[in-house]
Amino acid sequence: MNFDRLQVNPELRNKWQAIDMGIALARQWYWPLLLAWVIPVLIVSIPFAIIDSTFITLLPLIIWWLKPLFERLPLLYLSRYLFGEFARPKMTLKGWFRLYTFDAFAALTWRRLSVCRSFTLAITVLEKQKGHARAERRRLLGRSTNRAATWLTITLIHAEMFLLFGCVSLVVLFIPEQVDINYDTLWSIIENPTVIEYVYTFLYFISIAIITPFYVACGFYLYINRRIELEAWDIEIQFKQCAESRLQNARKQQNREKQKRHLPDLTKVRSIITAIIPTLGTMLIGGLLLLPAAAIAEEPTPKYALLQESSDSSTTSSTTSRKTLSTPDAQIPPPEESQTLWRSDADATLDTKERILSILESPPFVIEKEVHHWKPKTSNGIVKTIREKIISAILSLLSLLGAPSNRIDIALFVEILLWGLVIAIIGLILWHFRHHFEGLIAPKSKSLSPLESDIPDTIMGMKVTQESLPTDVIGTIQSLLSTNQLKEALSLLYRANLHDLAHRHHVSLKSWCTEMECAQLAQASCPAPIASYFTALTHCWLQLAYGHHLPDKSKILSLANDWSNLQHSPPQVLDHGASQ
Amino acid sequence: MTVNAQGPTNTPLDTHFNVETPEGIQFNAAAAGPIPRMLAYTIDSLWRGLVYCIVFITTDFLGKAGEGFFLITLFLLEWFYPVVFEVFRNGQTPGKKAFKIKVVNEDLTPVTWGNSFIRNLLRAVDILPFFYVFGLTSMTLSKHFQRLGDMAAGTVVIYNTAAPMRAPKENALEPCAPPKALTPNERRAITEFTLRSSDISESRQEELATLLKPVTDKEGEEGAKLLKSIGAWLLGHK
Repeated sequence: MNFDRLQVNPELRNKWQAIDMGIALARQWYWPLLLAWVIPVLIVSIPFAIIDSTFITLLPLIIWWLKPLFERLPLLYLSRYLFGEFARPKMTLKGWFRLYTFDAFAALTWRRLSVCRSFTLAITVLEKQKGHARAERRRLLGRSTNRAATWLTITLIHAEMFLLFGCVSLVVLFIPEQVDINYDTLWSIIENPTVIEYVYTFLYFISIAIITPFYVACGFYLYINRRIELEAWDIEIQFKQCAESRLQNARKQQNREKQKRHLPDLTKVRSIITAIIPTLGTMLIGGLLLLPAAAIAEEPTPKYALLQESSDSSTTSSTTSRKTLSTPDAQIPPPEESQTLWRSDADATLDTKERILSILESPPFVIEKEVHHWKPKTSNGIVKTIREKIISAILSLLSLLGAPSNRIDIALFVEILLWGLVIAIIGLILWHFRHHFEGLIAPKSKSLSPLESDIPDTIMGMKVTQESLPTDVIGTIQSLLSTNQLKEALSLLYRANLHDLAHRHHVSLKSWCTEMECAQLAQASCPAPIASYFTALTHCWLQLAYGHHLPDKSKILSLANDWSNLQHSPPQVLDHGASQ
Repeated sequence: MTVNAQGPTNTPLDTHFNVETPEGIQFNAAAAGPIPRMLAYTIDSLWRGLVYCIVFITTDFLGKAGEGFFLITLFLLEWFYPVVFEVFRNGQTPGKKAFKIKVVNEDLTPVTWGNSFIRNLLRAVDILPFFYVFGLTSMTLSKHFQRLGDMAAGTVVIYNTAAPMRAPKENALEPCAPPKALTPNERRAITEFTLRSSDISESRQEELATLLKPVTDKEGEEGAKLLKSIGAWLLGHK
């Protein structure tokens, strides 16, 4: 068998992969295979359809019955395509007749319902076996493939059915809901037997036609795969390649040896040339230009180099000769030396590979050791003992569970364990969402009485601690006013107020608050008089701080007095005072 | 569809395909075709059918609630049975496992939640117009046997070929070191020959051994024997 033009990768596959290969084959040459089935079927069925319409009823049955014969031509084509023969087979009329009639009776009678049909078809069509020989062959080939071949047939019978119904339901799917089908006329069409027979025959024909190339190709590749297994086609190809590469290597070696034998002559010629030309050259040029010979000989003339290379194509020899070239006055190496150079080069390429391979076979590259038992990867054995402990613990627990007297205790234990687990989970959830609950439990207490640590030391960059303020704020203000330090006086008043708000009235001021935010906070959580006083103070302060607008001395004094009044009067009185 | 009506193929037909990693490592896998996949699907359907039967019978006495429970089971199994198996069971539903095939991403990495979900959600398309006709068509026509869901999710079904360790029979021939240093291809061929020699007839073995005369310097029966001895040696019987 000639595998040179084999169109597949002939590796040994499992049965299902072989079937998949069949799909790939059928896909590759689908149209010729389809036509090889369709044309004979049409030749048989068209006369039936024309002669008598009653035959239409029988036509699907006839096509079905003759399937084993119709599948022969696609198989024949496929077997040729597989081996790379794409020319149309030239067959005589007798050949065609023989193709369809060979062992036809058995194929159409007792073997018609064989579920391995596509697989065994190749024995009949390609090997031309019948009777006892065929049975023998079939037994050998079918030993491990029958199951897959059977499932192939069963699956594709269903696929045919699905396609048939699929065609119908595809049409139904494309009818829009809005279309009002007149069911009376539809039924009258459907009740007309000939119409429905035509439609059914047509759809049946289409679905078989679509499936058959795949069925034939899958069965055929199952057969081919089995033959690959039995006859080792892939091994034959591999062996041929190996032998070929060995022979090529041997041929190369022979060529080298041949070259080697020719080499002395070449070297001799070359040495003569190398001897004559430089000396001639140096003599001529040296004589003409009266230059030292060695100086010129340092650079070889291009003409000379060309001559060198044409005399020998090998780079090794040309480099050797170049060496001799650069020192033409020195001794030209004898031919024996260049010959040894050659030999060592040739031997190196040939032998080194083998030497490397044999070195790689021996220690330390390959260290062989026989291992008889499994071992955990951590070699100290700790893993094993822990695992054993766990297993024994589980086993003892199981035996405890099994003992009837312990059952109630254990049930109780498990119950407690489970409840504990539930509580733990609830606790965990509560802990996880604790920040959400804090707001629910005491939403206002925090903002009303902030902890001492929450009160900032500086607000808007101004120190508002107790220590930063003088003990007698009013007195200090007055003394500042008396020396006309208005800015200092007002800022002191403002700071003292902020301190008051934070510590006495528990306004949750933050260090990042702006003046207006402080005023808003004060308004939100302070009694009205304090808030309105603070707002007035803030305005005054803002005008000074940002507008550089100095208020009157009397205004500051009155603000300071108002503040001391507010401080020293109880809330009720304050209210009263404010309303006044 | 790659229809080359007349003429040879450029590369040998094969269901195998290669994936190269950025490190330059080549992985080879065989795509699984429509027929084993149909059969695998049938097995999965049978398992699901069994579960439906059991659930239906056991929830029957619950009346309307049982019916609801049954419908929920139906919904969950139809949509998530393949997803759960593919993600947690190495891309294999029980049916796929029976045929030694599995779902992987196109780059042969394990299938992820998202991909598995997409490929199984799109069964709704593949199942049209009647029992997976679209899916079968798509599988048959696409290069790596992908149905529409596979194409959308970028997955492919391949054979799970963890090649079993094969060893020649113990009382085979006396192992023998090769007479010459062998190239990797020669080793591969000779071991393959040794492992499969029980399936190959004697005369065919001799025929094959004769082909390898440039390597072994022997032919015929002697050559076959020597090849098998070398094969045994290469496979570690020393």
